[in-house]
Amino acid sequence: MAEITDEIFMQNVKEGNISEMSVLFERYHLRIYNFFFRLTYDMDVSQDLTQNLFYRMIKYKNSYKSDYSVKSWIFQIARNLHADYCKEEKRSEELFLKTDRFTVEPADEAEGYHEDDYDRLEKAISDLSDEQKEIIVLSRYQGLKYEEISAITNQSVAAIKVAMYRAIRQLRGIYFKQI
Amino acid sequence: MKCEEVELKMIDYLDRTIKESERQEIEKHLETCERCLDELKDTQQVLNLISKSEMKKPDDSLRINFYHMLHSEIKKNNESSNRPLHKTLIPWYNSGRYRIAAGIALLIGGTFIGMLINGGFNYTSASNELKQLRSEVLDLKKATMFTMLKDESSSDRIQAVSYAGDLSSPDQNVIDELIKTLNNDKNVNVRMAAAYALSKFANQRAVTDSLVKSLSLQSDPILQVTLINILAERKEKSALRPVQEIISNKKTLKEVRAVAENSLRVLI
Repeated sequence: MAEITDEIFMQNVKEGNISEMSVLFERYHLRIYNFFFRLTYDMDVSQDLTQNLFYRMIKYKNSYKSDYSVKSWIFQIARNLHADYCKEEKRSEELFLKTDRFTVEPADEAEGYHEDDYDRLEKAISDLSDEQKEIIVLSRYQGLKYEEISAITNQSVAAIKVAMYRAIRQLRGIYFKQI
Repeated sequence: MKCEEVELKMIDYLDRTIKESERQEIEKHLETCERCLDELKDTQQVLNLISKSEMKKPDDSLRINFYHMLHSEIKKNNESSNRPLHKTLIPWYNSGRYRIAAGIALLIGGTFIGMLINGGFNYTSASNELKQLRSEVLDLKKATMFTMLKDESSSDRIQAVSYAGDLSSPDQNVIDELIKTLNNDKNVNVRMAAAYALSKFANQRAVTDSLVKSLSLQSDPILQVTLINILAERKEKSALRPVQEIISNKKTLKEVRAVAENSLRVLI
């Protein structure tokens, strides 16, 4: 059976078959939850933001343009939600407390990595600027292509490549300084 | 190639998304530049670490909350904007909802007039009359439900299904009608509403059995997901077989398969 594209499902949702949103939920909720989690390190917040995202997709279904990539659209909404969340967070000045909430990644000792490494990596990522964090999450954790990130963030591919290089250089610096 | 350029292309080099000629140039540079080679190794280590990080799993409440939200949005949508134009132009007294309201008003009015005509208003007869009245209203609601289920408009059929879901103890006729709707209605939203209405009565063995049976009949991914979720939420062990069939069926969408596999945790 040929894969039915996200775009067809979203178009159907737009036309009133809202139940088809369940397919998009099943396709995306895990990645979106992880997108939020990598940026906030807060499971409850990530869960709320994910829930919110699918609510927005239904609420603003009419603003979806049928020739537009659903994946890009979803990540755009996700970015906006995260930006709104950060604004609120900054107001309540809790942001700096968040670094204590790390949960430990499973160890992968056979590959030569230890729990400590993942811990240090997460700490290093949390020291990056919001923009750098975001580009690393989109590109490396979510595996999006530069072209896709370009569509989501409205920046040129060349600009993203440079930003990506800088973010990784920064991350590398912080990560290895900790040793 | 200079250090700067090598640095800029390092990620693409490691991802092997670089032209062969550039790859060779970079490697030539790395042979002589120890600083760049160190940076390359460090970058590789960080990128590897990221790619080996596992996905976090949200807890089940995310999915449950989503389906609750979805269900209420579908209801809202059907009650308001989605009515086709010709429907809104039909006089109000012909639309399903008003037919019911008018019918109930007539019935209540008629009963009271009857009570008055039969003379006297003593309490025992009044309470008997009321009991009868209540059951007649229920009958009417049921009758209207059956009529509305045959309606052309899917929003009226959803309305009918939700009337049925409001009954506290529906009789076999209503259940049968809901099951028929779940398995045969041409509109997926109506079928889904029927699944949710039936899920309210899933403490009745026969209802659960019919939901399980329906799971093996449904080929629509949305219905499959809905039914699996309803049955998994109830930890309905008899759903195990149809769920396993869905998993092993080559035609199953991979999203549905993921939900099915996830449900195995509670079904096994």
